[in-house]
Amino acid sequence: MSVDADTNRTARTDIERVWHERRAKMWRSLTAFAGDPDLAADAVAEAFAQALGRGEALRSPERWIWKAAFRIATRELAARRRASATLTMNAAAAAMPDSVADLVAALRVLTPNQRKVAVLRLYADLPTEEVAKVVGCSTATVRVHLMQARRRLRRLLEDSDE
Amino acid sequence: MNDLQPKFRALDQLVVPRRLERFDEVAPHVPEPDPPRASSRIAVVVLAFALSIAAIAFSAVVFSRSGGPAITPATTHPARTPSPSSSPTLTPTAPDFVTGNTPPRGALVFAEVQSDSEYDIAFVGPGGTAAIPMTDAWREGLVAGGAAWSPDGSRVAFVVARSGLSQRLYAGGGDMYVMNADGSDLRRLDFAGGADQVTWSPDGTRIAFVRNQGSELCLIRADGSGFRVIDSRRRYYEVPAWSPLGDEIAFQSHVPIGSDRTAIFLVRPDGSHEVRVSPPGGDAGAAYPAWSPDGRMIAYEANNSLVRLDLSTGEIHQLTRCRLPCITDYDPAWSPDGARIAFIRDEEPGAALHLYLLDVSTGRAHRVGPLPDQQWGPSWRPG
Repeated sequence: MSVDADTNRTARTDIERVWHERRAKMWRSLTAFAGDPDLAADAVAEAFAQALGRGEALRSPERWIWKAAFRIATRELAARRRASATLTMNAAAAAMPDSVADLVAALRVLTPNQRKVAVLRLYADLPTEEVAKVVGCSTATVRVHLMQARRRLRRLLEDSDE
Repeated sequence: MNDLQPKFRALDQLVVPRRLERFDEVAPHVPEPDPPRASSRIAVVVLAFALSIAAIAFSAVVFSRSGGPAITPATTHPARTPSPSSSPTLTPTAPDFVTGNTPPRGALVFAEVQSDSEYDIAFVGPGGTAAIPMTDAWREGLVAGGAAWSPDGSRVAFVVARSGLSQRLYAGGGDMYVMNADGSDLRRLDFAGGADQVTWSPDGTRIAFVRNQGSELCLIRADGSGFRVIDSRRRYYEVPAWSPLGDEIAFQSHVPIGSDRTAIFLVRPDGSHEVRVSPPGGDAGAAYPAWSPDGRMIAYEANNSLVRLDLSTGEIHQLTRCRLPCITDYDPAWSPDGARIAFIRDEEPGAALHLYLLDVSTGRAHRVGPLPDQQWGPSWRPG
């Protein structure tokens, strides 16, 4: 057995562990971010597949997969915006429970970075430092995005409760 | 942790789709990486050895021609560890993320401007319709921000952090740099990194900042020596602002420790006499302290609007009243003559951040711009 094969097997084991422990959280986070469960599933599956393709090159598989999944989802959302000026809700999104649909509707009002930071911090429970690494900005900026996201969401979700 | 997390917990109702049930359904589509052949490995080792020899020879030539150590490019410095016994370190660096664009005195400068996913320092151009970059750190895969002017307006301190690809290490906060207003004489202050949000002492000799995710309030002399932690007991420090009189540093922190609510505090530069100055109230507390030029008042954000606190009387005066479509007024910065306050208004539609100027005597505010990007942390280059 070669050293390379052992290393690749270890990397695959690490990625499989992330899959078992975090894929549900990732998919739900991406669903909240994109507003589309199907797109979120595509992004998460593709991110894991890309991570497996890189094997030993990943130092932090979970962070890499979070970043890749958001990148894939963002790219797909941009492509859809170019294709159609108005985004239509698909059947899977329309079938969400009301409390989830309200949250997703409120999140859509935020900027992509506010949305990303809010989901990672308030749902995925990543610490601020880790959110900064995933989003690719300073921790101070994460705090600003989070403050703005919280205030918007409070107002929007309070309105939807009335 | 806060009132929004139960709303997010609703996401747990979503049932994971069948296509994400089995790891093997994702994994089989991935081609196994080809193991490098023995001949390839030998070639890689030989090439690496040759490059090492070439690098050593090149360094020797540079060293002998310059008569001293080669300048360390800012983008290649290795991770450093704190060393209390090390000599003062002010590292000259290659200015590879400085544009040379110089804001005129009195110009408004943003600590951070976001364009797409890029973050840099910029100033408001003539007519208020463009943000002119002072740094282009994004070209190096870096982010720049946290800018603050020296009291005489000759120098600016700021923070540069690593970002971008996951392979790049992000230090959490970043490295602090000081440069002249025109981008010349760029220097990195070495103290193990992790810095954020800088503020100068009124005599221009020292800089206060937060470090390690805001868990420490720190000081360093502007020449790069004398780094020390002022305080870390509160475990969260943000937006430090040095008093114009020099005797106190304002900052925001949580109350109680660990909560989401924040308040404004003052502490002496030696870490003693910490006191809370903002009263309780509002859903999120008080944030973003900014001193008036005479040091008698502090403007800050409370209940989504701006107020000013008279430190001698304790009276609070409303500066703005933020109502929908306004979401929040924050990040105030007094003009050097005290007549105006620049601030950021987060407003609908489109979750936009806009720069506003408030006339302190009339209470009227007007929007500057429109500026094309998102921006934070306005400051005035002293005249």
